[in-house]
Amino acid sequence: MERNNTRTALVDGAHGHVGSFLTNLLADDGWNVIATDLPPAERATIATKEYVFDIPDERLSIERDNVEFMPADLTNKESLYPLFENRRFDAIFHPASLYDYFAPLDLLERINVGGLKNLLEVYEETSSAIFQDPSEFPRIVHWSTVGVYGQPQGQYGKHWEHPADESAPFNPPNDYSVSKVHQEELLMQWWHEKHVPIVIIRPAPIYGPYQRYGMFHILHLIHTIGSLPIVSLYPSWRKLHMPMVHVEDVVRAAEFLAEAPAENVVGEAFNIIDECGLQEDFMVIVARLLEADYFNISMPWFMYKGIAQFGYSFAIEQNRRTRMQGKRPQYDAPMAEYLTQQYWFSNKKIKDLGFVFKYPDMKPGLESTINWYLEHSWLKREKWEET
Amino acid sequence: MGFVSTIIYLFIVGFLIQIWYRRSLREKHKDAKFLIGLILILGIWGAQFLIYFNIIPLPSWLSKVIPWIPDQSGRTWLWNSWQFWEFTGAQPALVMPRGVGQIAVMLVLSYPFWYFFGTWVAKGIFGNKTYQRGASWLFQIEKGEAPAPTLPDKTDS
Repeated sequence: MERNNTRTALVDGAHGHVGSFLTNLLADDGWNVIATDLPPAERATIATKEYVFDIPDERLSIERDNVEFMPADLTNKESLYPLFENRRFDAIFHPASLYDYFAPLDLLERINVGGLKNLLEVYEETSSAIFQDPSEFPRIVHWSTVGVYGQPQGQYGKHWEHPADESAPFNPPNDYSVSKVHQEELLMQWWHEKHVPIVIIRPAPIYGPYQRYGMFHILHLIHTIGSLPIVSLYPSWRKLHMPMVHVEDVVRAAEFLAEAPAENVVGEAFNIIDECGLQEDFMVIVARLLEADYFNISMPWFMYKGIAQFGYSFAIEQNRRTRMQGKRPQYDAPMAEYLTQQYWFSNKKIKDLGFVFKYPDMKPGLESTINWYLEHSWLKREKWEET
Repeated sequence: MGFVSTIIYLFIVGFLIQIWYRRSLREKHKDAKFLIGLILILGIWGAQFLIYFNIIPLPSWLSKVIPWIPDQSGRTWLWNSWQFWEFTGAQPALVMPRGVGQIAVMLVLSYPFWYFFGTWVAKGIFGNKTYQRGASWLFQIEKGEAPAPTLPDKTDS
């Protein structure tokens, strides 16, 4: 059995965006990492979202001295046993998930919930052979999403004076978020009934280099359209927030929570989100960085909501037509939910534990991310700019 | 082209030039849109100057070719060039070119604005830079080529 003073971690979904950053961070910090994911060919049949744009198939490499890659499939329980064989993990990071707004609920449930259940069962079985008390099992850091809250309402002031914290009730607005709620329910059941050490992180939409689904779509859309109205809503309490977090902060937070004292974090959920600026500020920053034309207009909420609702309905219809053709659209309709929903969340809980965000403000993170996309031709440039 | 109709034509030309510019002109010459506009407007200003002072007797020439256009002074023609469209049945009131010189100057000076307004509107709809597609892109975004996600065939769960 491998056992030395170096910490050992299991990272699943290691070929994904977050998984690859996490693997590298842990490797940088001296962890031995067992990285797992589907073999690339199989992964491509599920992660079709990564192939909707004509962009380079460029991924952050996880080939490191202290990283061992072992392919496995969460939906195939037998394939998970070799990961745990003769190993004693200090932490298990579970970012693996089908994060796809276009995927049907049954597929999301099968991969996200069924896959997690398989992982937990193999984890319990193998850990029980090493540890007597489940509280000594390696800590599981599980990836959820702030999407589980949907638009939080009620206890945050009549006019959203405060961001929602981790106690907000679940109100998932789409199938993906529904599957994440079911994951959390499964995990909390294991925590309450079996006392296995579980920490849940709920990241906001993640951005950063190599990110190709979600936030990248917003940047791609603005870049392709080239001009946009920036709507300033009134009354001012209707101004919409822009939940987002840089990938580096997500993986740093995960490592932080894996190492934090158990009494502070186990059995708890944490929002991982920057200071949650306003959508209109986000649009101005992005338009300037992408050199897109923009103009400001003020609009009352009711008028904006009517227009945005029309746009959302249009996106749903486009999705339906594309689905009938057996294909997927370039932009999935649930991404347009941000147009009308107030997604404002607090990061106070993790900050109170001492975690410091590297990108608390969106501007520096967006600047470095957009420059990366332009330099790597994920966002096109004109031929005279490509030097 | 008269003082008023030139404004309409310049808007339309600016709109069309912008589409052409985004599709191919910009790649060949980044300032093509500006240069075309400059040449076009300078040309129109020059031509209207010559017509206004009857240096070029355009209305006389036109009256010989187009039967419903009467012979008239260049100044009158520039206020009434809508006469060209009378074959469509349109018969707006005749404008007599007296006491409207200042308005004519303002209209003539506004030509660059209308050309670039046309390009600006088209820019919003069709884009400006070579990679941009403008707001019309929103009506094309369903054209995805990637398939819907599925589990690999060999998966056994």
